[in-house]
Amino acid sequence: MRRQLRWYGASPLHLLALLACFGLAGYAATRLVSSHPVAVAVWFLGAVIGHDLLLMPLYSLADRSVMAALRHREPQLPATPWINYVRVPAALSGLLFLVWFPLILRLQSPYHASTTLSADPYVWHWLAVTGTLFLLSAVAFAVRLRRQPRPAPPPERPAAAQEEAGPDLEAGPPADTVRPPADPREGDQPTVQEDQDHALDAGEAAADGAVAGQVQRESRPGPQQEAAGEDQGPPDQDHHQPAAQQDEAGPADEAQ
Amino acid sequence: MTEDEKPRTHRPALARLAAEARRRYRGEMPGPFGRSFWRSPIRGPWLTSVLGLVLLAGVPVVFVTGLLSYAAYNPDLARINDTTPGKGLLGFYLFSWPTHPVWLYRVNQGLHVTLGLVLIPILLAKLWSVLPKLFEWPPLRSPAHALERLSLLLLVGGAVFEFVTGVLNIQQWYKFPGSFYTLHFYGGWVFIAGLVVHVVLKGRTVIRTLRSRGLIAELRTGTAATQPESPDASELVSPAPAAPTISRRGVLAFAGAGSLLVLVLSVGQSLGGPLRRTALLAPHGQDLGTGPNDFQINQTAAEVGVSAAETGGSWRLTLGQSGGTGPPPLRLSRAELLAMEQHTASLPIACVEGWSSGNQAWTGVRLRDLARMAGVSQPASLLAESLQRGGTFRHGVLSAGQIMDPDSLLALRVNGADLSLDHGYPARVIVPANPGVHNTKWVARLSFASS
Repeated sequence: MRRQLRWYGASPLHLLALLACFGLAGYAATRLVSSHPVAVAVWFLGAVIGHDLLLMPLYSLADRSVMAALRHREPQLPATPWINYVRVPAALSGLLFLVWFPLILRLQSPYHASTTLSADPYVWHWLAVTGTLFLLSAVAFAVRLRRQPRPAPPPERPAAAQEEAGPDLEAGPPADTVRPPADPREGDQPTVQEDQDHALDAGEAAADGAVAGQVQRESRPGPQQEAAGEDQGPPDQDHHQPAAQQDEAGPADEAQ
Repeated sequence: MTEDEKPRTHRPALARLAAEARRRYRGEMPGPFGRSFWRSPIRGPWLTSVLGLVLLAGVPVVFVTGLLSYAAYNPDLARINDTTPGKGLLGFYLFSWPTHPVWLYRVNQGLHVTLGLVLIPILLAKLWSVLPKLFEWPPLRSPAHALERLSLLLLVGGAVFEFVTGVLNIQQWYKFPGSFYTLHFYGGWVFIAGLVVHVVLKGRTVIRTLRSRGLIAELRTGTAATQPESPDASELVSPAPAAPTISRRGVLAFAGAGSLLVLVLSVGQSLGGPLRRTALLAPHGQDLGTGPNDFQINQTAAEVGVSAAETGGSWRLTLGQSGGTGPPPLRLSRAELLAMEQHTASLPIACVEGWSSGNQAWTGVRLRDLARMAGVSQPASLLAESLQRGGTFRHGVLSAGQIMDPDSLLALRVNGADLSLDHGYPARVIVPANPGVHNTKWVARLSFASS
């Protein structure tokens, strides 16, 4: 018995619960597929694939693209973290489209004949709501900028920073390259990200991954960092200041 | 600690973590199958647990109201009421649907549809939070692991399937394969089977995780101070976290804002009255006007081929007993029905699709009076048939309780005016707390069965 349990990999109750689940689901499924077995199976699996392998990578890619595209313009952008002021209204508008696209695109042909209602206003409603969301977000961002002390003028940023702007999504780099592959669904804050990568590059190059090299770096910008020749401008100023401002900003941060 | 020092100590810590992880995962699988592909610093069991808990509060309500909605059709009463006759044991809970409170079906259905819509952003956030698990490597570690992953396929597939079929149905975009009732009812059971076993298997982890981080503390943590959760057995925490662009409270607020937006833009279609116009994105968010017949319609006479000729002066109600038993059926004109004792009841119309109209003053003949007239003093059921030729709901069967309710009418007038053609002229059934489609319009024949 014990050997079988070890082979199974969990307690017998685990097995029992799962068997009960499959019993009930199987009972319902035999009835579910009785009329159009193939089509129902396609819909069921299509639901998983459509969400996990289509919708989610797409919105992650969109998120990533906006960050990457605007990273080039970073010196002109305010130091305040801006991504959520784009991300939130865009995602909410996308959510409404995802739920109501048959109405918005007027796909249900007998709608007027069935309900005597006009199918026309929904696309305008959606656009109006989308516009309002972006407007509110812009206002919130403007208020946020006004409340903050003016940041120091951004330093020059040569090409090194821009090379990293486009993380490779399709072909994640081999595991032994230094830079870890990017998570396509996570926006990262560009300045901070670069800072982090520089730290890694410097640390690993200098000490072959010895923690000591990085510990040293924590206390002050060490020689390795300068040797790596990637950190530009006055040390820390451009990287650390935005984060410090985030701290001060408190709840306004995500309160859109 | 000065403002300057805070991020300094914070970021190298992250960097060190990432470097360590990279060393540890050197040689891991490529792409999303490698753990360091997933870099969100906020993914982790705590966030997943909170989102899961919100769903756990909402989904059972949607499931139960869905089951009640099926019961409201009285499927056990007659074959034609049953949209899923193969239900077998899954109909174990059915009961005779009551007529009071009169808003029962309205509230049930509004709750089912609106809460379902509101949970969509939470579901999306929850699925986002666990996506790395889809790519975990090795994909199968033991028979137990394999079976559990199979149950997760039922859970995720069932959830998305249910939400998609429901959302498409309320917009009347019938692209799914087969009857909505069949798909949504059985699909719901597949989903709930996956959900129950998931809760059983993960319950202890959720409780432990929620205890590990205080909610209040988490809600006080902004983006800059957001740290990855400590690595755990679930392997949700990224070994190579990027710097945060949003905090955990930010994600919760984000999903909550999505829910709130969907709610605000759709709930008006279920509340009715002046609030209907606030439902900017909902199928029944438009006002029709202020006249006595200006309330929501879901099927027009033209759509189902009921013509003015059939409903004009030549129209007669055939009133008798089912199966041709009893005395020969009566044939009553509209004028004769209007000459009978009239009763007025204030009742809503509520659709399975979640929208509804507030109480309208319906006037007509009580169904129980018509039963007596047909020679049935103790009716067991009533088959109401429409002039409408096609469609599942061209006819419906009402229960004894529904017939005997004093507010159950064969309505001839509404809000002081004759019914409009689209509301069922010359006569329609209206029964308190009855699903809209069972309030048969353009009634041609009523057949009572005695008990």
